[in-house]
Amino acid sequence: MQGIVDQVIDRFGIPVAWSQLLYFVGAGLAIILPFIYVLVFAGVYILLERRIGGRMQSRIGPNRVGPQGVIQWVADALKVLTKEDLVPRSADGPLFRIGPLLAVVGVMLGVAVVPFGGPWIGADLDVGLLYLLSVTSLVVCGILMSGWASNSKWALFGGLRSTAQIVSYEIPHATSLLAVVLLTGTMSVQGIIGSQGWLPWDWLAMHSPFALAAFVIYFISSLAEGSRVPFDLPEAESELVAGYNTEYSGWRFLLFFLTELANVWVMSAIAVVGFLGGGNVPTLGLVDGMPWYATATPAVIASLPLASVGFWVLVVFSFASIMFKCWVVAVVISQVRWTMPRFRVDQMMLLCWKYLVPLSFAAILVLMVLMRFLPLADSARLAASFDGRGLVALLVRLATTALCALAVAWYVGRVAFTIRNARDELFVKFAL
Amino acid sequence: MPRRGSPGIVGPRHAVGRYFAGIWTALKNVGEGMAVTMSWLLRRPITVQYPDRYDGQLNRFMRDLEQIDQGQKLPLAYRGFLEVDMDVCTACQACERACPIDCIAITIDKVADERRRVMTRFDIDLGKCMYCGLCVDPCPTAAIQHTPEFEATSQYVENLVARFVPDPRRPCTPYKIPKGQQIPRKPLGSVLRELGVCGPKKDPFAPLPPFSGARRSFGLHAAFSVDRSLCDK
Ligand code: SF4
Ligand code: SF4
Repeated sequence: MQGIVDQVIDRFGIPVAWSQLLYFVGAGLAIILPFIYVLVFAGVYILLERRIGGRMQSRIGPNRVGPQGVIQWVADALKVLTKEDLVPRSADGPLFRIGPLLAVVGVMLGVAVVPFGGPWIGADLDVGLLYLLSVTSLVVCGILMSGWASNSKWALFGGLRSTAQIVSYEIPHATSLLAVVLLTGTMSVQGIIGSQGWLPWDWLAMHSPFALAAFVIYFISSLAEGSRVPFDLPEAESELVAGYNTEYSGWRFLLFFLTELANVWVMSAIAVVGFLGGGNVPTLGLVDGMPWYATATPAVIASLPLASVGFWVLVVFSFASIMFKCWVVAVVISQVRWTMPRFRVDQMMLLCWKYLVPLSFAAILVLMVLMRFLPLADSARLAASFDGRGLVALLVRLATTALCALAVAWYVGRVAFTIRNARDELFVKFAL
Repeated sequence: MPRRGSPGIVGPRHAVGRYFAGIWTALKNVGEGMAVTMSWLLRRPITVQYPDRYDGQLNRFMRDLEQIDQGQKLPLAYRGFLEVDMDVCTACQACERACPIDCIAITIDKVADERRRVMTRFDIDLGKCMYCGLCVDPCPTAAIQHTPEFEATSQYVENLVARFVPDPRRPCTPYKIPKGQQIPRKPLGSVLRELGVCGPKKDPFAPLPPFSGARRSFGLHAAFSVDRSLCDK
């Protein structure tokens, strides 16, 4: 944001006294816009999730409020907001009240380092990923606090489960992001995007099969971090009434939902930034003096003058690119929700400590060695440089991409098989 | 020495193999599961949007479903409203005795001078019925049956009493089971629609029919004098 304000000041020759004001306005926008976006994301995402879930369960889902139910989420939010904000008499009042606030603040602080394509980002910190991992730990404090302060055994169980789960899964979560930091040599979110290209085999996940493994580990452990199904033990409604939010009502109850949904946004955005090429777009000759294959990384876009057409075109495409990828990841997260049953507590711990932790350590160890041999650079430039190492790196990237493509092809084949072999009486018809 | 594949002690190679085989199985099975949910995402939902896509006539509605969805409709064993085909009812009162909550009220009168029994009342209180089906089982002629009808919204709960002898002055003659053949039962649902209990023409806010108030309470035996000239046959 700051770079853009700088450019505005330059271009319009704004005097120093006024420029301070402009910085304030820029900072305010950088705070408010991502926040509003996340609020809207939460609503739209939960609607989408319910519609998708409905179709996956052969139902229709909410379609009554507005055309195709598009403002169902507004109605739901209003309904919850009109409820009384109850504090049980035996609860620990102050802790009970600030618990949900801490949880939501933890996620919203994380949103600050989530990019929106091109140069748009709340704050491009040099320690972006470290900051993200630190502030999202606040969520667990909020959840434990509300579980404890509710003075209800269900809430306490939920809070303790959540703590055990999030603390355990912090390790593979951080370790798999460490792989990203190792490969790119930076923790800045824009820097990480900048060291990837726009082609699938330029993404960090395709660097080698081990980077791919790190991506899978990141995905699983971030599901657990965000308490998404199949790791929704803290709010297992069939065992604990609703877990840590059992005793809540009104807007505090809504804050827990906001936390969970904002977490989905943060986790899918970080997956896209760290492993799936962020908002990189091909420049396609839009910018003079750059070869056609060069990628429009955030740095390239930010270096363009605001007034140029290329800047705005690139920003729009970059925004579209990162949004598309994030929404795809978010929809996959919701599909996992409708596919997988919930883990048992011991299975959840087993998955973390016996599988994810050792595998993520193995992955970063191997990646440390591989970094010597497979340089991180644009595949096009790798091919152009045409020395042995560049070529090998490109081949490894292509092979990893082919592996993923095979997996996707297998998946599509299985979907087609399931549809073909479904029984007639189960309403087999394409809706498309 | 433990046998191969025994669950006891396993060698280190075997354990490592199992570890990675487990990961492979997990990934593959999650992929399979995702493929199943994705395939459902691409299919038509089974839901019929009840008030919107339903014009009050179940059979037509079912026929539409049949065209669209290859034979899927309400299951044949669906326990909707009860109906009695008075043409094949033997007046045995087995259904009345079977009902655990006394929803069925049958009144049998003798026609004076003749040794003939007639039914002057056959009421089923559909508002009280719990659709257990206990009355259906003992019926010797399958006169009393569940239909697939389920819609009879009414402002007056009295309208939910289905009267299969609409006019007590025109009582029904019991059916005598002939040897060999039996006359076919009317199609399910047709009797109820004819009576106007359910079906498209039913107006939920229609004024009460003349007899309803007095005949609502089942314990009271309404005294009717049977007009012989009106008796059929
Ligand atoms: S279905 Fe059950 S409750 Fe209803 S009339 Fe028959 S026996 Fe009685
Ligand atoms: S409906 Fe069936 S069981 Fe009931 S009186 Fe008639 S013949 Fe008997």
